[in-house]
Amino acid sequence: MLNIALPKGRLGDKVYSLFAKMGYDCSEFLEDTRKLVIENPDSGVRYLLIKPSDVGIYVERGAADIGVVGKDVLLETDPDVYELLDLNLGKCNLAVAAKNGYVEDTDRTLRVATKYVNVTKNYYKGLNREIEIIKLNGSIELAPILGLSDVILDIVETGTTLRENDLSVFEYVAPSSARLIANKSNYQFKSEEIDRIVARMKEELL
Amino acid sequence: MTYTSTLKRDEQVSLELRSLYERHGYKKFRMGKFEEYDFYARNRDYLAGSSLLTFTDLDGKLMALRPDVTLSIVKRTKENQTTSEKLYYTENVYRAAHSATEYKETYQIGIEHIGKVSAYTSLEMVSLAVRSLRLIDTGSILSLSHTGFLSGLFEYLGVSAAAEKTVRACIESKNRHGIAALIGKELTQEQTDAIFAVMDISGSYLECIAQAKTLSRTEDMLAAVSELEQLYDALGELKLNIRLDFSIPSDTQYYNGLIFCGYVKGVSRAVLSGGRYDNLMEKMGKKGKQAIGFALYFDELERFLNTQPPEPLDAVIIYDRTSCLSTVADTVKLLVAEGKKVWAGEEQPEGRLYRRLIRITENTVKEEEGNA
Repeated sequence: MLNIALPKGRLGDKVYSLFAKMGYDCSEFLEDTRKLVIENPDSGVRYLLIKPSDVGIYVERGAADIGVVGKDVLLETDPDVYELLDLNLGKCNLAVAAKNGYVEDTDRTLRVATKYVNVTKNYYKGLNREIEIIKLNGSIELAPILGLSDVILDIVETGTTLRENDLSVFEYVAPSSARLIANKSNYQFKSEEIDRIVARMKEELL
Repeated sequence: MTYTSTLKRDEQVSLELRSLYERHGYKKFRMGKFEEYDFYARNRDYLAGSSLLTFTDLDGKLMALRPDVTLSIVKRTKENQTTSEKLYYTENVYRAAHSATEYKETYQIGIEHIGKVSAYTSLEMVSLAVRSLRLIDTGSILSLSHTGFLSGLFEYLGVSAAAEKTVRACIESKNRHGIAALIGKELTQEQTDAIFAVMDISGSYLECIAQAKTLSRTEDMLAAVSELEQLYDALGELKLNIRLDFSIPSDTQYYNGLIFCGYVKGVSRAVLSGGRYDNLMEKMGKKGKQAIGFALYFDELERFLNTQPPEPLDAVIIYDRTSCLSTVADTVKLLVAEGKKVWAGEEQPEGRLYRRLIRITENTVKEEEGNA
């Protein structure tokens, strides 16, 4: 039985339909269920529905053999896993955004609101910029509007949320998309199964 | 009579490992829990960025709790010693794990062979690694690799030092798209194709060897592959647990030559790692010394080995002020001699399961059912 960690939400649904096309379907998945574990003994897979930011932890600790997670989460949590494939789904950018017309005052500590604390630290360390991180868990866009922070570092997909809140991208940090990851130890014991999935998935994505 | 049967599984495994190493002539080596901070500060490169737990000694010197055992063993090796040494250790190390917020104490068992490393020494080391893993779980896997193969490849391809770091990180995480992203920047198309070909090596050990041979472009690469081949041929039935995997992490500051990494089914990280570390010897001023060794990490293993709930007590003996002292003592002695686990006291133990309850008042002994 292969345990597959999927991020709850839109990306998870997309990835599931990819797996379903490859023959690893679970009819239960499409029903409006609150179950967190869905399995199909015939195709030998068990799906775990997990908060996106936790997928890396489940895979790193071996509770799931493989999983799908955004590169943004991998950059933030830096789990010790194999990164087997770029699915090119859920494409977005990690970017710094600010109010329209924002001009950076380089003589002051920059206040950055974000949920990507580690990405933010590393990015600004690379620029030798002194910053103050304001860790938020949602509605990050609100911070610069209210003057809580100078800028935000967050993922930007289409930019609609930014536009509607009179914000715009100030600089791009890194591109992101969904990645297939695997636990390093479990891979040793299930490499054939996992390699087969990777190969099938590559064909499916062409 | 032996008492080891009452030990927890991880403690038993630890004893069996020690016995295995003793039988191969390795000598137990015990060292102090701390070293001067300076020593680790100078050798920071080898500690993979792990932070140190420091404190000030009575004379004001900054000290650190040992984050690594091998460094301490290398430090005490005498340069002028002519014969080889075989050592093993069972020690706790202290370091903050990657992404952790606090320090952790980790139990480690390891063996080192320092002095001159022959083909047989390497074979013995790998055999001991497999047999150590088998003591934990017979289906464990030991992945082998050789630093000379990738280093030779990068040298042949002329990959820049900066790119090499990224490429190595990508190979270690089997990340092809990460390397593909470098085409046209740090890497050319031909370089990338050659790296991909190496990443695609797969199949049984001998199939991997055959593929690696055809991909070898330099003497160093060929030498690495034939060392891996020779070793495998001599392993006998231990081959069953061996894989070839060029993606295992190879810190070239530390290792040169054979490297290996052990996995146990059900433990999420590698539990064993080791290899040939002449580079470390040289950089620490022990010129001309060769060394090979490995360590087993017990942090996650401990949980894996102790899945059984604790065994219940065989008997609980309840006495009171009237009980005859020698009756109580004799009852305990007799049961222990039979190999039973006994708990004696004035009232029943809290939170423990037991099979029998024996009450002793004055000279009479009454037996009841236990709660297990």
